[in-house]
Amino acid sequence: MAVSVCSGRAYGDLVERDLPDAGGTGTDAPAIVTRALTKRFGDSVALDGLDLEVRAGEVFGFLGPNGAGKTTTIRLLLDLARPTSGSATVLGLDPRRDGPVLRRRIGYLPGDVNLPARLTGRAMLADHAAVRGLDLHRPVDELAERLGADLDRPMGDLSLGNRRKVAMIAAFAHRPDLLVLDEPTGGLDPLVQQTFRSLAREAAAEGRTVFLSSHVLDEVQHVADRVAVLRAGRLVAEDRIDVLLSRLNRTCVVRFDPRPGMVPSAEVFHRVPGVTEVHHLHDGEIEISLEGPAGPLLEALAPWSPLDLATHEPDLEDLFLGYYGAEHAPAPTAPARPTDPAVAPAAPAVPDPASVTR
Amino acid sequence: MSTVVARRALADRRRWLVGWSVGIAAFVAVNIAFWPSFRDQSDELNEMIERMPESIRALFGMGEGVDPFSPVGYLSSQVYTFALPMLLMIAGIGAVGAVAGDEEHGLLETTYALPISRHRVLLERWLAVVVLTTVLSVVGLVTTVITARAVDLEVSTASMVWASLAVTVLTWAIAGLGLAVGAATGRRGVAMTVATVVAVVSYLITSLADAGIGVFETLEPLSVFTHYDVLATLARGTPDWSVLLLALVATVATGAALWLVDHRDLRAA
Repeated sequence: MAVSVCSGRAYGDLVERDLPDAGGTGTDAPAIVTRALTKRFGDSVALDGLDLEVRAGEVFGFLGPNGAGKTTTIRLLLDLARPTSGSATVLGLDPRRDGPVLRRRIGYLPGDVNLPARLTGRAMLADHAAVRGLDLHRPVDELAERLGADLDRPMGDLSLGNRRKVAMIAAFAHRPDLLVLDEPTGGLDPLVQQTFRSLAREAAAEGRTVFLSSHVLDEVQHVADRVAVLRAGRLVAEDRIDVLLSRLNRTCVVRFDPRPGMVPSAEVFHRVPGVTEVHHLHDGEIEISLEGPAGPLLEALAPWSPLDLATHEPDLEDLFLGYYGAEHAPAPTAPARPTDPAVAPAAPAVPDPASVTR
Repeated sequence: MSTVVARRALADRRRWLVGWSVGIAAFVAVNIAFWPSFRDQSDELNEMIERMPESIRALFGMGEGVDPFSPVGYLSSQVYTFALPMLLMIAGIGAVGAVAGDEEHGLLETTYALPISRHRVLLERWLAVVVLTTVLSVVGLVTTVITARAVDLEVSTASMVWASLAVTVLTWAIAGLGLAVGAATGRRGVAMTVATVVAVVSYLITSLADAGIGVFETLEPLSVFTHYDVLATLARGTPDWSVLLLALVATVATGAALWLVDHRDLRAA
């Protein structure tokens, strides 16, 4: 009982003609809008009044730690789950009322890639094409080649990364208007991650929208235009990724000639805008925490002729720490400015016992 | 109309279907093959059966009014009353349990994210179960007809056809209950357990009611087996219209399943 690939329309033809009337979604209309979207499971609140707006044609990063409500949000957008209250509009459509019509225009990559173990990737993708009524042979083969996916082995024999490649092909092959990708690069090697980023950027360049959920900042920061940060079911930040990152503390480790008089003291940095903390390490190294543009710091450092400078990019941990503080982390009720770090720029740096400043 | 979900569900069960077909065919053939020796020892066996309590005789399909040593009585007690329905129901419950099982294991997450409604997915999966159980029932029927001819078990083909139809619809009724419970819960274990308990309890209620035990006579109308009067069907060689009630149970259960699956969250793996 072989299941054949549906010999439907060529995939290059599908984008415009297959689209139903999107209910007024022009190019400027947002791809996703949620209003007070809430989901409770018994007494626990998985999503608490989410107000979100994702613009058409952007790559939108949806960040948060595990259990923050990201997957719940995605399942509500796809009508896999139903909201307790609030509403969601996706591509101008109601996920529940317009389910199949809406999902024709969505490509979904689930976070947990559970695929039928005995089926080959090719057979599953043929089934998907048949349900969509499309001939997807060509894009499937092209994507398989780009991602290095093995479509001819039973999926139960594939590693997580290789299964994810198959699922990624299923999400991208029909060139959907909206890609919903839940933790897309888990288990993928760096080269394939790079290919994924290219695919996401290409989709956005074609005017399609990418909704990219992750708990790893690195997964989204190189590809997303804007990000929202979710924590404990609540939206705590929504901004351009570069703006968000620029508000965060970055850490620089600067190495100087360790001889006496060659290493600047903490006072040197008191008036440098953006510097929040200075720690002397050892062997002429100073660790400087910086918020905002790096220019003033570099100007202050230049006269001291630093031998080396290494920066540590902020990661999601820093992002969360920046937003909640390390110890007390009350979930804000609305998108908030980052809380200011505890140490004012002018405050003297806490001397490190290993400091060699003399 | 594309039925890709149903075809895939059928394709996934090719080996299962072959295994069950062989098993049912072998079971039926072996049971009927004993007819000649059973017939030859009928006097001794009759004495033994006469000493059995009424309730035990009822349990094994040896009801009043039908000679257990007649061809119809033999075919009823050995195949259609207990063993074949149970085998078909176990197969049907297993097949229908896979619908909820696939959801439970997250295997339907990508399917439900396709441009296809929950109703359509469930209906196509149910269609696959109906096809599978029908094929198994036909295998049982064909084996019965052939083996009965081979050992001179004289029961009309029409009787066997109507009895097989009845057992098929009975299987759909029980599997339909499993479908509805699975649609309500998304849990394979619950769906299969409830359907199995309903099947077994129904069988016991009807058998014990036939034996004249009061409390079970009161409960008898609730049992699906009460509406599966296969002995009469075999004896008359005409359809027993109470099978329509079983078809109604299957239909209502399917309708309930469609409503239920559309009014809950799909399970995440």
